[in-house]
Amino acid sequence: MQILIQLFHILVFPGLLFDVAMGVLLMGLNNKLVARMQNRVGPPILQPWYDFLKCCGKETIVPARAKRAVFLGAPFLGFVLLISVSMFIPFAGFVPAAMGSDLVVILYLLTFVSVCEILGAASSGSPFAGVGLSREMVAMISYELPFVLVILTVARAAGADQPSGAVFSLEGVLAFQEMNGPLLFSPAIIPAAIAMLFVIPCETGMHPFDIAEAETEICEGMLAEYSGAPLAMYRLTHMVKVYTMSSLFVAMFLGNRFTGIVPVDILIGILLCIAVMFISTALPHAICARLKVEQVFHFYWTFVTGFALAGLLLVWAGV
Amino acid sequence: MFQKLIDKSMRKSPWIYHINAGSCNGCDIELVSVLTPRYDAERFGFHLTGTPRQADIVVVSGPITMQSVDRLIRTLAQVPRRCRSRNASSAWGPARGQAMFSRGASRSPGRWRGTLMWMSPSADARPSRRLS
Repeated sequence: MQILIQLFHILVFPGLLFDVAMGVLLMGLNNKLVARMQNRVGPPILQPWYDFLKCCGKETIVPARAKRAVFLGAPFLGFVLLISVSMFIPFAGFVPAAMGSDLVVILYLLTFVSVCEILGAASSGSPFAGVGLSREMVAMISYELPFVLVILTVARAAGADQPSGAVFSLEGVLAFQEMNGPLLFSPAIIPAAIAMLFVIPCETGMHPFDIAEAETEICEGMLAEYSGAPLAMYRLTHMVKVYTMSSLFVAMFLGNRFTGIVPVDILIGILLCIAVMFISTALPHAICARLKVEQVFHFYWTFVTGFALAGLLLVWAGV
Repeated sequence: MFQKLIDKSMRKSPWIYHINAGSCNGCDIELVSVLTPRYDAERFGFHLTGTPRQADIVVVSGPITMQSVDRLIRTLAQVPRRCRSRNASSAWGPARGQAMFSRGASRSPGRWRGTLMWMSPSADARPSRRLS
């Protein structure tokens, strides 16, 4: 029975199936909201799902110069890694892998998802993918530093009264928030939350920061040679990444158990994820045109890192 | 049932790849204006891709000049086919594997100055064989 419950948590809720459903929902809502903000009708909410299914039904072409195993394997490995990241992030009090929900593990696994994309692009043998992957590396360097600083801030804020001085377990952060209210309510952590809101669109490769997949400049960049099922996997990974990052934000700054009633908590969690998605990905998408590579780098290493650093200093000073 | 879902999605998400084969840019402007917020082709699932590998529809504008014909054939050969399915014909309807011509505004006699749309052919029609 225990094993069955564990399997249900991993495969259905809040694991694989729920991740995919939420990813499709968030991405579809993102497109719809951006369209409404641009005074358009916009695609249906299920459009990402149609795109995914259509890509599944198309022929998979492997270029002659590509390394076949890596080219085909990398998208699937990336998706599996991303799903395993979401196992560590509690949702409405449920967490499939309760033992190891560690912020540093989440950070490393999220990096490996991007590394898988880079591996697949590098093995495709296309010069456009080469440009795209170098841009993706620049984007990774840009957002990793503020991301690490935000995680340090959260760990310190939740564990200031612990003997170790910091709590890196997401469960510990949630337990702290259950006792003392959401971390976002303390003014010292707000700069770090703002920095995290900027990390999300770059981590997920959403529009103003999608330098690695600039379709008009470098022919979809890293995805230049992908078609068929691996492309569908990539797109699904992007969708689930939006959900993973927004649920990570909700878990880190807003907590998990709001009322104690499970269905209400799930509903509030979904609504909060949608709100985070709206602020962090839909608004910049509608407002801003795609940035240049050096603009992304400059923006992240000055403004976003500045916010994250300010948050870290405020929290460590104990304001 | 899965095949049915995929066939439905094929109708719902046509992705366009645009190639200019010596056009005067008039057709290109018209194509781009269809994708702007005013006409908003995205509400039908249209999406302008940057690579023929992801395209379902290839829009070729222009009279196909001598210099562009080889590149055009190579581009069309890169478009992936649909996987073989039992009811492949129903998914694409009349445009399956055939070229649709529409004449542009500035058509001089004896020469095509228009837009050629190439719908993603099904498994039995290769683009390269069609054009050469």
